[in-house]
Amino acid sequence: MTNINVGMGEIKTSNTPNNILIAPGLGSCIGITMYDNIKKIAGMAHVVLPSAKETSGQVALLGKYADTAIPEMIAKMKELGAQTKDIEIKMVGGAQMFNLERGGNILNIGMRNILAVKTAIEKEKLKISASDTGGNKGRTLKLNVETGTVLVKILGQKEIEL
Amino acid sequence: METNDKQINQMQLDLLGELGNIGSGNAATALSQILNKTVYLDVPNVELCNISEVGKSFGDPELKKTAVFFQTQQDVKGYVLLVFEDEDVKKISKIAAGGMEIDADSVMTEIGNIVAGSYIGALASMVEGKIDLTPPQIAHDMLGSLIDNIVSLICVVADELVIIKTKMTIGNETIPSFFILFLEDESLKKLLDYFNFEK
Repeated sequence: MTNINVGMGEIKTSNTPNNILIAPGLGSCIGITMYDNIKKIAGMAHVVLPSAKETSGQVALLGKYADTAIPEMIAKMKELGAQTKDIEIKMVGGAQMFNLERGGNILNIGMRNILAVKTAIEKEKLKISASDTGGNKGRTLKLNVETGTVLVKILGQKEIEL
Repeated sequence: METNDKQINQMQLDLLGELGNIGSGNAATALSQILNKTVYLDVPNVELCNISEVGKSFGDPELKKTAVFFQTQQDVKGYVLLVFEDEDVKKISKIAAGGMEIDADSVMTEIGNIVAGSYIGALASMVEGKIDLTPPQIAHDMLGSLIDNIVSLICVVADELVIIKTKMTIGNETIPSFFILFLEDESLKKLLDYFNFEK
């Protein structure tokens, strides 16, 4: 088995059976998995922020923002031959590790990320089949390319299948 | 930083390192006083890091760590994160408690307060400004998850960030811990402007 690390802002796809896509230590970030069970095509994105609209600059890393990551991820899945109707989507992460505020506003990036990912997926007329989000614990997300199994690990707890 | 058009140069990174150096010298003195041990904080290492690499730049993102977190406010806006190995938390709190039974989290929070306070104090006097620290927060979790929340706040626009890291040695014990100072873009610009560097 070969682990393929999906870093912040990255989107990776694979159809190599012995690959595992992994986003280790997700805090407020969101790990999104897409899987075409017919063609055995897997994708993972590691989203950092809700919207590319927050920046006026050019977006180099499409996977960084929820609203740019989802369409890009679908396009990458299709490039490998996935059919939109066969793609199953899961999301993990969006925790609040520390309480943050700026100018009297509470900044819950995790929650904003969760909502933004949901909105972006709805916009594509797709659905999230399973999710493990929120709270205040970090998570590691794994997707097995051969089987489509999605595993979530929280420290001190047993790894669960999503 | 909008690194697509302007790269921060080596000279600017060195300046930030020097600022960090003065801060960490102060912090070491303060820490040495409460622990009654010799404390060294290594010369800070200043790095410009791409966000897709940031998880790995601190080590295995899945390892359990203890982090004490602060926000800096007023003239320099940013975030301070002190990261310790769990084993070292036990060592440090034992040294600090001097045989007494004290909750390790309270010890680490207090140590964090002193280290961050003196560091930021030095920075404030260097720039002749006012910098406040929010009350400390402590968390025990995977390294990657402790860092990503802060990275996301810094990197709304840029895909790269400046990280100032310091390791410490207490007595004979080398504590491979990190002192990380993340600066918001505007404050970074202000710091560089103050020392007449073009960003």
